[in-house]
Amino acid sequence: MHEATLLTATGLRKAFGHVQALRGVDLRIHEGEILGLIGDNGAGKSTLIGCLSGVIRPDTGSIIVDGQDVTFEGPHDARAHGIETVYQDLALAPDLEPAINLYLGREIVRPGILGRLRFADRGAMRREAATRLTQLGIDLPRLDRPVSYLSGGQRQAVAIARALIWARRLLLLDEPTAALGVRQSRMVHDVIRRVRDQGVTVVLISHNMADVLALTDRVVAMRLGSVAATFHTAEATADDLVAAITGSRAA
Amino acid sequence: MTGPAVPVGRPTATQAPRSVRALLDRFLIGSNGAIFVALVVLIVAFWLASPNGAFLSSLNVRAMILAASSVLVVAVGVTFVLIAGQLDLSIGSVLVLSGVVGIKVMTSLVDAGLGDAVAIAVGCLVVLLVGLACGVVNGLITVRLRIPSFIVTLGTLSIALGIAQLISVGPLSQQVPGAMNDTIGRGALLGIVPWPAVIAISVAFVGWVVLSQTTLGLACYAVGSNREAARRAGLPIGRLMILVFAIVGVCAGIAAIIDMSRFTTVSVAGYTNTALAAIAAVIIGGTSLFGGRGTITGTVVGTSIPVVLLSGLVILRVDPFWQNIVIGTMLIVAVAFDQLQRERISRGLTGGPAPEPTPPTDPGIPGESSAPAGGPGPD
Ligand SMILES: Nc1ncnc2c1ncn2[C@@H]1O[C@H](COP(=O)(O)OP(=O)(O)OP(=O)(O)O)[C@@H](O)[C@H]1O
Ligand SMILES: [Mg+2]
Repeated sequence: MHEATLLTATGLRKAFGHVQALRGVDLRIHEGEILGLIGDNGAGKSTLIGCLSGVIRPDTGSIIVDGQDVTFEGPHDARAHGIETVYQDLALAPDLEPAINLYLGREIVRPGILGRLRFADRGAMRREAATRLTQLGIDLPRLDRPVSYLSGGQRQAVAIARALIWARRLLLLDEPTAALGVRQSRMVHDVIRRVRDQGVTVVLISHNMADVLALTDRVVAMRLGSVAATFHTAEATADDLVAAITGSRAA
Repeated sequence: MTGPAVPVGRPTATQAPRSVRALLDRFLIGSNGAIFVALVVLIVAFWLASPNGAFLSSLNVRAMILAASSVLVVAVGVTFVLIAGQLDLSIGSVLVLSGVVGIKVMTSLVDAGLGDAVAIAVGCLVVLLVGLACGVVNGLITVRLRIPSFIVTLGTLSIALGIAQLISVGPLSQQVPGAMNDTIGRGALLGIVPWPAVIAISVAFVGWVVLSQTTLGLACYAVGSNREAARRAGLPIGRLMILVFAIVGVCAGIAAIIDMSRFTTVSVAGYTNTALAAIAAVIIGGTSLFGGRGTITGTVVGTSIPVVLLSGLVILRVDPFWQNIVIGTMLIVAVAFDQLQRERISRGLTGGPAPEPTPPTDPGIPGESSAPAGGPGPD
């Protein structure tokens, strides 16, 4: 059993105008687990992920990482804690090439004095990106073109690669395989398991119950901005999950 | 330094291009390449058509370079702003305000008995600081009040001009010390390259280095390309915005110094069209109005075209008003081109092959019941 806690969120609330996206969410993420996060459209999954990745500031509530109360002022802070995210909308800069997207905000700089002047080393980033993408089994037709030239699935692959390259503690995946074909999805699943085996904790949002059951250790079901139920995957069926999502049966 | 090796906006490989055709393809696909060809054609045509090739006489070339220099400085700043996805309409007024303040400072220093050299140096510093301050104000308002920069700078356009008008009514002679005109205004480096041109080329070079070589440049492209993505990548969006406006402000100041030196004064009413003309030149040079794309080389070409056109038409005794018509047309064509290209890309017509299968890692057993989760497919 996983007992050590990596992250605890308590009483997270977030309103967008009149919309209560999160109505007091409590969430515990165990060290080394793959946690599934499910719920209908608009249940608040992405908002919750946004809070954990520093993109969204909760109105109230606290986030504790490694027993330490953290307040994420921005994505930068979450990254500093080794938290990486694949956002539902991918968050890539379409006019920049994949390599630059992978390293944006953490660019490789030229050696020596030019590096101290923050001269970017494009060549190094391209080479490094090519190696990493190959390691991850991601095959892009051309690495020297802007991301806008890539297909939806290829873009998703770039976003996933970026998160995988940098994640040290926690990987937050918001529907990472939504645009991927069957084989690519399976590759991503393999990578998720591999990353977990290397000690990175994973939170996976998915609408695909088969994937969730196959991949995760625990599942948290959200409904209308709250946590509706928590399952140990081994003890849950697809029907249980669907019931928790739709609220047709109290869990 | 200003060859096609500026691959940032339309990122291209600097490493070993696969073939000449690919290189050509890349060059001509960017409006950058097409516009460069247009410039060369114009120059050659005017040269051939002008009596005795007068168009390329050293006198005329010098005149064109002088005419282009202050516009180029402003346009370099505008390139940063546009790439970062912003607009600055206030540049002309900022130029006038910084110039007027600078002249005030210079004349009072001279009146106070200080030497010309000191007065000019302090005055120029003040010009740059006023430009910088205006830029920072534009940036701060845009960032803090979350108002589109288009509106903010439309406001400061009027405010800066008003302040300049208030300052410039007065008994003082509105002229820079004569020494400034003799040196910067009419002098030349090694007696060959006019100082305004030296200044403009230096500014363009620094702009090129920053935009195409540094992480700061990358950040500008990222912010203009997808602001939210840049924010999530941890880039300091607010500071970046303020910085690009500061850059264009300083550029306006430098342009003011050039014009003050050349014309001994700054015409308060003479810059109403500056911002729009600079934006047009930058866009003709291939920088996107929507942010995320553009190059300084493109801007150099884009600023040269109106100057070349005007000079050529005058030499050929064609009504120079044609210049306005041609530039307007080119602007629309450039934007239409940019738009068309974006649409082609998003429809995947210029893209590579459809989702490339990743190398098989397992036997091709069709997935369980795993239809891709009901998300949107590739657009
Ligand atoms: N930036 C925003 N501005 C306004 N409302 C928002 C914003 N983000 C989310 N919401 C609202 O908050 C609620 C929760 O949205 P959220 O994106 O978290 O849902 P989700 O569970 O991720 O749904 P999906 O499965 O469709 O991705 C929705 O009602 C949504 O309309
Ligand atoms: Mg979502």
